[in-house]
Amino acid sequence: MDLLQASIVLGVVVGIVYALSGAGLVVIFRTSGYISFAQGDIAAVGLFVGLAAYKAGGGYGLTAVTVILVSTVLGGLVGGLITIPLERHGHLPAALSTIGVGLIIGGILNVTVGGDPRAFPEVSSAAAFDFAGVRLGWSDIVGMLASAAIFIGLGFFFRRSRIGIAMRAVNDNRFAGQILGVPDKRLKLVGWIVAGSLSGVLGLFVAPILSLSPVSVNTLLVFGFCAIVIGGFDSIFGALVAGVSIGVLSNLTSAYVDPNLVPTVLWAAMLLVLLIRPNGLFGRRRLVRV
Amino acid sequence: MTLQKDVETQESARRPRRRLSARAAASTGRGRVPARLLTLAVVAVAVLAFGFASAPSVRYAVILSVIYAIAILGNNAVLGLLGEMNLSGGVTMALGAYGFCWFSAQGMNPALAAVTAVLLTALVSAVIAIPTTRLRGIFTALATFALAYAIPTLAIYLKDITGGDEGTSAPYDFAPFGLELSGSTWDMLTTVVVIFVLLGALSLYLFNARPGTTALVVGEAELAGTTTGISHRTVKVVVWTWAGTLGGIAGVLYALAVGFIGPTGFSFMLGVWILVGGVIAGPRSVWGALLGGLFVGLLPVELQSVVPPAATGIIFGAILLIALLAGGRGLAEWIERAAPKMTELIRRRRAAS
Amino acid sequence: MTTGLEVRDLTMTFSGVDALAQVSFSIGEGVWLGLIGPNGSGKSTMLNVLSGLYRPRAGSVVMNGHDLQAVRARHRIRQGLSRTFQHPQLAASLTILENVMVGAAHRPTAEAPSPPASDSGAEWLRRLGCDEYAEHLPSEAPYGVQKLAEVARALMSAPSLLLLDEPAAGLSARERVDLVAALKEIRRHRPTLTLCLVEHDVGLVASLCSELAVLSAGRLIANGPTQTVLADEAVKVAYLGTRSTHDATP
Repeated sequence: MDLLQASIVLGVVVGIVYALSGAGLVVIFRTSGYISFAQGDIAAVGLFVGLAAYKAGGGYGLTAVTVILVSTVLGGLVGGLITIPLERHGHLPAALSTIGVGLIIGGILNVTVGGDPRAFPEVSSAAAFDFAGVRLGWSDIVGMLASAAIFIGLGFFFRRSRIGIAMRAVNDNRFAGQILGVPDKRLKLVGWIVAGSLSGVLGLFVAPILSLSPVSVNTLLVFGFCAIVIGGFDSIFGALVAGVSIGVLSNLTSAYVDPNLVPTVLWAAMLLVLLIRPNGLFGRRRLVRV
Repeated sequence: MTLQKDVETQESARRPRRRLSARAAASTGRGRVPARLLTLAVVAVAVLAFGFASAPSVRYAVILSVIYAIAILGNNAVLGLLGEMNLSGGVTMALGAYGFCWFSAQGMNPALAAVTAVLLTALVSAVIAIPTTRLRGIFTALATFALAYAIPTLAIYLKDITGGDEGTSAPYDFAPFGLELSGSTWDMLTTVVVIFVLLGALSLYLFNARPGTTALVVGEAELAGTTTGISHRTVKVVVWTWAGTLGGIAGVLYALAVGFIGPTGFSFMLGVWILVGGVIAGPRSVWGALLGGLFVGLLPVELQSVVPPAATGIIFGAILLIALLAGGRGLAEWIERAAPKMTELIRRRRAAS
Repeated sequence: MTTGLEVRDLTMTFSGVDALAQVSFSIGEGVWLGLIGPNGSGKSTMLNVLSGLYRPRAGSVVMNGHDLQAVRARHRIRQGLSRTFQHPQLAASLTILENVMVGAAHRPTAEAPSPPASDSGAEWLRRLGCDEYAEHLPSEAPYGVQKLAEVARALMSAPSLLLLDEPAAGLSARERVDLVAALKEIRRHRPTLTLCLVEHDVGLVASLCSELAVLSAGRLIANGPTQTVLADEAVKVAYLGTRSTHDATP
């Protein structure tokens, strides 16, 4: 019984982080219409710079700010200089370029810092309180609250702000930006910048758990992919629900069957959703445009 | 008599072109089948000669390259015809390889085990393709990425079949027609090259016949396909199954060449390399697939004497980005375009001197 | 059994808004009907419903006595229904002729298995005046040729009903003249073909079609012989009166 409760509660906690991974991908999808494979590597660069700042005596706050700042800038650079310009050849080359960027960043990190995993600081290692018989740490609580704040913030951004509304429309109609007075290249760039900072935040939650190596944040990309396929590509809310479900599902699989089966179960869940609801649980049914 | 001749001249004036322009042939990868077959044969002979002349360690890398090239050739159908991203090239290789080892271990004749493993891979590919292709276009990458990521741990979980972490071995006494099929033998090299050429020729034929046309309509004008009676779902599943079949063949050959397979050989990066190899060399080119295989299998080996192994990703990423910046049709198309210009240039120089 | 096309009470809703509201009209066999109306009036939606790409919320489409309700989009070509698109849907890597031949894959089952040589893809391209581009890629051919190639492809299945979606949109004045000539050539070779022409250019429609149906905001506001409809006051107000505004939009 305790195992079940622990699986579910901790599944929700980690699921919100998965959802965050999905949300970053949704932001890029909404503005540009494809998916980035480089978000994990972008976060990894931020984390290594942040770790250097931490070792140089900066507190956790400074470390966190550094991580997010570096990821944000790098996200913007990758999108603005490489991927968005490649859209002129189509979505496929643009998406493939993110694989190229990932390989380059991964290679550079391998050469400069090496592939060995390192410990990464967390906001606090103290236990906060027990919930349903499960002990939650302060870092879990902060992670959940920050993620919730980010989700609410994204919701407002896309619904209320002029740029957010234009970003929602730009992939459907390339004139949307012009009508709202914002060039659509800039909207796409904003998408990449927001996604970059989201991956930095994600990295802050993931690195203490998985320890930091050039590929550790990339692991989360898989969970993010599952979250957006199951949740529906264009729905931030869908990513949240799907992320939490994935968290619980993978914890239950890990606890009751075998941890080695977790990725396979996630993949199977994804295919099952595709068979029943091809556009995901919360995705809009896409109408052919003629 | 004169009148008829007049009509004929008129006819020929009306049809200035009987076949694709050189530029169109290079950019679409279609037409000119005899010339393309010849190029394929020449490149294959060059690879064979290079392999024979090389030290066993390099020959081994060439053998693996050609095996990757077979998987790339299949994957290129998905990428080049449908415009979809398939990262499960390594998964189908794993299926073929593990299937082959397991069926042989069950006492099946190795030749029969190889055929069964390939058929099994084709069947599994078809079943997986049904939900996967519901994701449109490049988003098939998400499902195939998740699958590719799951394979190493799944192999550990299914340890009764796969041998888990320790891996499993290929039948070591497999010698069809007296060929010594293992490691870096000349027989192994010849066999993989011959299989590649046969599959390459078949690809060329299919690409230029009705199946290729139908797949291109689905990939490039899906609505037109629907209104002319083409089931895009069926076509996509068939193309993905073709890719899976070639992956299965590559997997069986991989098991034979390597002799011993384990989960680390089938990390998700294998699928990435198979996709990237195709993009760099040109997804529409058959001999380009061979080039892509050499990129993936041989370049890292050669690079290691120049840069640290950890840095090969930088070189690959950079080459990929350059290939994409050049328009995404790959090195093979670039060479095909440049070749006629070069011969023209040489001809003029000769004429001048 | 009625021949031709009969549309009854067709209703199509997009997120609560009626794109088509209980539209009924019919086209007799061999009749060429022009479907006109301002932008957003539901013309393209109507073609998408007729060709099965959209599923209507209510109403029925009956063709030559067969209810098309349960017939999927890709099976409608076997019922003798064929269409073109406003933006040419041609495979970029196939030649114009290869694209045209795609239409020949599924001739109606009632037709003879092998078509007469006079109905080959090359022959139709010649009749429509663009055979010199047969071995060109669509990107190497003028826009007008691309649009006519779509028409040729649609004709390859020997349809009894042809739906043309804005064939003149994006064409130059010269290309429009060629288009009218090409369409007249089709009528000469296929006198029994029923045609539904969606088009903005009222002059072009009037020169080709004996009947008109006018849509405005998803409703059918007029239907009948061309001259009668063009004289109708409601049509003038809803459509012709605002002509200058929609001519400016693509």
